[in-house]
Amino acid sequence: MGLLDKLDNPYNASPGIVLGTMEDLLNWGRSKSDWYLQFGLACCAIEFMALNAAHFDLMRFGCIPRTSPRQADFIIISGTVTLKMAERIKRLYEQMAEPRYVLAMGSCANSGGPYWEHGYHVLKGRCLRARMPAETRSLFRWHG
Amino acid sequence: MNAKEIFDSLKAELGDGIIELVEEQHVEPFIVVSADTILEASLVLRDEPQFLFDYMVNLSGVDAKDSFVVVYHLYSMKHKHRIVLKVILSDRENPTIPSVERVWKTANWHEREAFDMFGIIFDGHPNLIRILSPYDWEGYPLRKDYKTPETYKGLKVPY
Repeated sequence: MGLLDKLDNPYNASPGIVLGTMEDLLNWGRSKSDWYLQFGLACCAIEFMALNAAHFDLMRFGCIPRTSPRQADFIIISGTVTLKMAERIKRLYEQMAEPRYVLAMGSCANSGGPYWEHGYHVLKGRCLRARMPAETRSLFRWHG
Repeated sequence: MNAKEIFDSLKAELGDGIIELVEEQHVEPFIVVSADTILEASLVLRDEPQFLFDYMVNLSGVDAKDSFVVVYHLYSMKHKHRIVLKVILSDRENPTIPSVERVWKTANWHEREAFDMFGIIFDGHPNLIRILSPYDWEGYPLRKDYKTPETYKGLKVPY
C-alpha cells in the first residue's frame, strides 16, 4: 500500500519519491554542472552572491552563473517575489530551455516570509508554485 | 539660523501662508505652511541668501486619518541648518498640492512616491505616475482605509 505501490509503478505520473543512499545522491549532484540564471531579487541575493564568492565557491561544482535564461538550467528565486516582479519571473522562466528547474530560496520565496500577513504587494510561496508549470514541482526548501 | 529665526523671517516675508511653528520636545521643530504658499515658500527658502536651502533631504506623505500631510525636510549645505515644513491637506477626497519639482529636482521621484502610496496629487508635476506599484494598480496602499485586493492579474494576494 501507499509508498511501496508508488515505487513499484514506474509509469506513475509523479511518484515524487526516489530511494537511494546519501552517497548516491551526492554523487548524482556532483556528476552535473548546473548552470543557473544570474538573477537576484532581494536580500537573499546577497547570500546568493556569497554562495558564488570565494568562501562557499559554488563554481567548484561547475555551477556557472549565466546571464541569459536561454543558457540556464535552473533559476534561483532568491528573495521576495513582488506582484510586479512575478510576471517578469514567469517570462524569464518561459525563456529557459528544458529541462528547467526552479529553486525557491528563503522564507519570502517559499511563503511570503515577513510579508505573510500584510504584504499586499507580495506573491506568497504557494502561489508561486502554482504559477510555475508541473515540471517544476521540485521546488526545494533551502536556507530558512 | 535656528527654527524660530527661520520661522520669523519667513513669516515676515510671506505673511498668513506661514501658519505656525511647532517646537515639541523629541521632535524636530516644524513649520506648518498652507498649500497655496508652499511653492512660493520653497523658492524663498532655496534662493534667499539667509536661508539657502539647496538640498531637499526628503519629501513624504502621511495619512493623519482626517487629513493628509506632506512633509518636507530641507537642509542648507552653506549654512548647515535644517528645517521641516508640513502642509496639511484636509480634503481627503481630492488632496491636491502644488509640486515643488521645479524648485528641487529631488522632489520628482519623492512626489511620485507620495502619489503612488497616498494618492496625493502634485499639481504641475511633469510626470505624475506610479513609481513603485505596477502602473495598473488600484488604490493607494499606505492609506489607513486601504483594503488589500483579493487578486492581482489572477494572482492570489492574501494568503
